[in-house]
Amino acid sequence: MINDFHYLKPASLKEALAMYAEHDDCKVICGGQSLLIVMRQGMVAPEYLLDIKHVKELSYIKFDEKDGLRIGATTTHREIEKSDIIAKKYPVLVAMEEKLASIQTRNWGTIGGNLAHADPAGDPGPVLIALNAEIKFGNSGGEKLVPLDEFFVDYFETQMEQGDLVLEVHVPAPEPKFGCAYQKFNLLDSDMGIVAAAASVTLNADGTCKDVRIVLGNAGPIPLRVTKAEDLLKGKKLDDALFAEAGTIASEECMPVADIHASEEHRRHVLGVLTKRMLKKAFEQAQTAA
Amino acid sequence: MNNNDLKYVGKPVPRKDGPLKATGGAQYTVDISLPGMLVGKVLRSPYPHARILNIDTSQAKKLPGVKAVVTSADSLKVKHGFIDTPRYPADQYPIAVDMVRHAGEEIAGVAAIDEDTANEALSLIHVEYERLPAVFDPEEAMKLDAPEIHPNHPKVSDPYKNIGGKIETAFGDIEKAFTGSYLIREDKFYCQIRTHGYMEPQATVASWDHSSKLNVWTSSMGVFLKRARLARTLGLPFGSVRILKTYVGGAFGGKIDLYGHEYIASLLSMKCRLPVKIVYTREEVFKAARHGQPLIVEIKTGVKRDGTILGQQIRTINDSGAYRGSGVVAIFLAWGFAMAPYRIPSMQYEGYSVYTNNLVRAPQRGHGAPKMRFAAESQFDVIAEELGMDPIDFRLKNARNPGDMLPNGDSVKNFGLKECIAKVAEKTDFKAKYEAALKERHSGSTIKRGIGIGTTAYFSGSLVYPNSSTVIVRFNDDASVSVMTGALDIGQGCETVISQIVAEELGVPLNEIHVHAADTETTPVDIGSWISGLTYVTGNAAKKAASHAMKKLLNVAAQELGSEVQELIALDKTIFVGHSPDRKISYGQAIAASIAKNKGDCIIGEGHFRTMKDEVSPPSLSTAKGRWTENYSNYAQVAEVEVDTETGMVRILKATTAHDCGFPVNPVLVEGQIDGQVSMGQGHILSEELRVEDGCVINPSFLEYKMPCALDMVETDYIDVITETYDKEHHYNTKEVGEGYVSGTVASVANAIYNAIGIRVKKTPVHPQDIIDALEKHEHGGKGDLTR
Ligand SMILES: Cc1cc2nc3c(=O)[nH]c(=O)nc-3n(C[C@H](O)[C@H](O)[C@H](O)COP(=O)(O)OP(=O)(O)OC[C@H]3O[C@@H](n4cnc5c(N)ncnc54)[C@H](O)[C@@H]3O)c2cc1C
Repeated sequence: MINDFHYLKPASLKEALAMYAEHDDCKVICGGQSLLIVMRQGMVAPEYLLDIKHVKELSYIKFDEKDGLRIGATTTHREIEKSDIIAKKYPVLVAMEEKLASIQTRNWGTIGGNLAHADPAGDPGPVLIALNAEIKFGNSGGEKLVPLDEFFVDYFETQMEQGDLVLEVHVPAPEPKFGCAYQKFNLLDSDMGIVAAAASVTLNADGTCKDVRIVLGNAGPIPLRVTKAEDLLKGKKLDDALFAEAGTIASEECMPVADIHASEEHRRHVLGVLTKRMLKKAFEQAQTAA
Repeated sequence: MNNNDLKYVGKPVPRKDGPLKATGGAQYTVDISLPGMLVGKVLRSPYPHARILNIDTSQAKKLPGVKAVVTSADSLKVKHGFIDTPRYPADQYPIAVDMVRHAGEEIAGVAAIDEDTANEALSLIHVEYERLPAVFDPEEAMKLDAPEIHPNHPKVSDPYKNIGGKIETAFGDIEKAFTGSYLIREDKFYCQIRTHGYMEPQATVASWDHSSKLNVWTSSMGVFLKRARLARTLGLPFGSVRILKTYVGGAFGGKIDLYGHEYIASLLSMKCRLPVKIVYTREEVFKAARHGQPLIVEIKTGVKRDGTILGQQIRTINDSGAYRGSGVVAIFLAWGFAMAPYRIPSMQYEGYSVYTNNLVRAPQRGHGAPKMRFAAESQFDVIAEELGMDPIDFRLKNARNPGDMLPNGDSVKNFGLKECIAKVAEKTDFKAKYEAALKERHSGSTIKRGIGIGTTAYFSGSLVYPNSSTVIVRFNDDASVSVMTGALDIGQGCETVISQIVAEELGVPLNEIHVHAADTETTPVDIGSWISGLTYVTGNAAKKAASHAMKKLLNVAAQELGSEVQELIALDKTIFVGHSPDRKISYGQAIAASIAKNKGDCIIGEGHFRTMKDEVSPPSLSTAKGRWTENYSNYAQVAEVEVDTETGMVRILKATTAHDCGFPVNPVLVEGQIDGQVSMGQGHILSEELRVEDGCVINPSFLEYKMPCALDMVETDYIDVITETYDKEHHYNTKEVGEGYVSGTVASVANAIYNAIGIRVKKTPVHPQDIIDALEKHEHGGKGDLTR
């Protein structure tokens, strides 16, 4: 059962940060889609709940050709999924959102809440890291901007400290000859991934690989970059054999944990396959991209 | 009368309860609130097998806000059981007496002013246990050195332990059949435990009122069985126990029998004289309620060179859990699902129901059929392949013909199975796709497609308590109609179907038919929503009741119009004399005339119906002798799948079902039933499994238990094979439609996987990892079967 708590409802971001600074045993709630589960299980029992769902300043999607995409922390999954500009500029984000939980959960759950929760099985983390995103967070004393890649520290742990709120996600404008793909592996359509892989590929004018990112979901304590696999591909002319080899390296480099849904061995195996497939898909997109 | 002349029956009428449910107006048990109502909670055993040395409730009783605490000391210690016969007497107390035999068994109950207090009170009850060795695998439990959970059944002489029940039956000469066989196959199949997945958790409100009557609202599948079991265990006359209707959020077999919490809520209310509500958490449903039956099926089949089946020998082992539950019924039914659809001239069958320290089992949609058909249909395909036949021809060769007599004396009557098989094969282009898949197996592509078939025959109502249905149809002054039926709509739409039948007989529109249902005090007895007999048994009772009322109405009209009854025509609630249409009387006028002139007769019709009216008793659970049912439904289902050979993922692309349900009284409800079962079958074969470690469920939530949702719904298609008619003059025959299809999906997907990748599935569910492992074994020259 959920414990009794005091409910704080700030009207503005400033007030939210002030309230958060003031109350020690305080948890932020936004859509509640992750928090309520752990509260029901009795794993989290804060004295105060700070509800930021209504802080409108943090709910926005902005795009600029130079600056790229900025998504406010309380923007819901559904808003991202339904955004025309995101569909046009970052279709991989829409595809990812369409397979994230059910519509009901996407209507409530927010991008800030998802990233703050830092579940290594979460979908946005790997995709956003593959897109080279940054995250802005801060408290009443100031803000920080870090690459999303560095934001996650451990299972359900980020760089944020007590009093910090996620404020914004920033995704740079897509480079030319860029492609990005994501797939999760799950038994049910609306389920968290057993494992997942995101890959992005940027090609040079001569067709060689300028940059590549491979980020695996639920393959370790955080959304996991597999840099050895990436290094194999950089600067090379990419082909199926290289993708397969990168997949094999990724499956060795990752560190998934077994549970009742799949063994470690099977997770490694599938991560290798997904890596290979997502690389190929991202590469093909990059080839045809302007 | 031709089916085309029907106005209500056979039409895709939307559900009567749909708007109320969709707008939140339907009152479920959890919504019931009574003055002074308390929250009840149940203390459950943490251990799978233990002696209870002492229960100390003194501290709990002292906690402010606690109004009652009960243990077995407060009970009459009367046992109950899903089966309670001389051979299989009841073996379970509704609240544990001295022993617990599974984790989650009820030990005590508390009633308090709120949930927090009730939970705290539970934590203040101190129980001293002496833990006993436990056993969880039925084949282990059968061994002589296994811990004893209950003594062996006295009539079972095998050198085994923990046998709760056994069935043995045979016909034909099995030895001769096997000696004469060109090919004999022996295989063993396993199934997991699957939960029912009802959306509404178990919930009960019990209120012992000032007139010393126990009023109970409980999420169930029929009120009369609940009344009988509660009255007996509480030592009350039936007249002192009233079960009232509530809306039910699904059951699928899991809410039939008496549950401990229903008894405990009643006992608590009787003790403190206040209403008590107990609602399970979802975790409690997973960890303590009854789930389905994990049957092991060993099957040996002999055939001639041309594919004709000569004989079949089957042995089933059912892990019945800590008490007998419906375990002995599952092994009986599994026999029926083996012998009914195909002509098998000789058969030897034995089934064991074995006690383990697992949760007790309930019936579950299909009650043995998905497991038995999975085994038989899989083996059919193995045999067909070895003979060089295709799966369709093999089945057409052996499927029963209309009029075939079964070894138990039943006739399959207008059995449409051959037509179902032929039609579904044609519509899905089965043979071409099947051959194409075989060629594709060796191509380079990593995604393989496959097609497979599964079939079933199913009973449509049988004899179990309360055995029959009576319905009352009553005209109101305004010529609207009230229908009194004991039937409980658990989501399958029976109130809609009953209304359609009554509307058809009376010529009164559906929205003027009001169903008053499922109240043991004010409605007549009903067979219940559990043996696939409601549309047949209750429906025919409703038909008779309506036609009885109509006859009275027409008699009055004849009197008033000075004509003969045969000349009368009823249309739009008006009765005309056929040859002179200006001579007419409205239903309302006729009712008024009946009251005025026929000694106040307000026109009430009564009808009753019992299936197999000449059979005295249900079939034997030990020999399978005796008739089972009057109408055998049957279907053939084809699944098309895609297997990703790199990841092991299986996707069902489409499920096409040709069904003979007699005739669809309501075609949309039939399609809804099929879809629901395809979804359940999908979960059974691909994702769902209750994971149990040392008798404790370790995935007790829908986050960890993978049940397909709306988004996972497979594309479905249907083919009607109509073998019966609805005739106004007589009772009608219609067949089951709510249970059998789970089997078709499980079997057809298993066969489709084989067609795609050459891996024979011998256990469910099939996880991606199993596929990869089996493919690897295959590559390394192993048999490649996917099994335990
Ligand atoms: C049935 C179900 C299925 C799901 N399936 C998926 C899936 O397939 N893929 C996936 O990625 N996710 C899935 N989720 C998780 C869901 O996406 C996330 O729970 C959701 O995005 C979290 O957002 P929220 O606003 O609801 O966060 P909340 O639950 O309100 O909060 C989550 C955590 O983040 C903190 N928090 C929230 N907002 C902020 C902020 N701005 N700053 C700092 N801390 C903050 C909270 O304190 C809490 O610790 C699923 C959830 C459910 C219930």
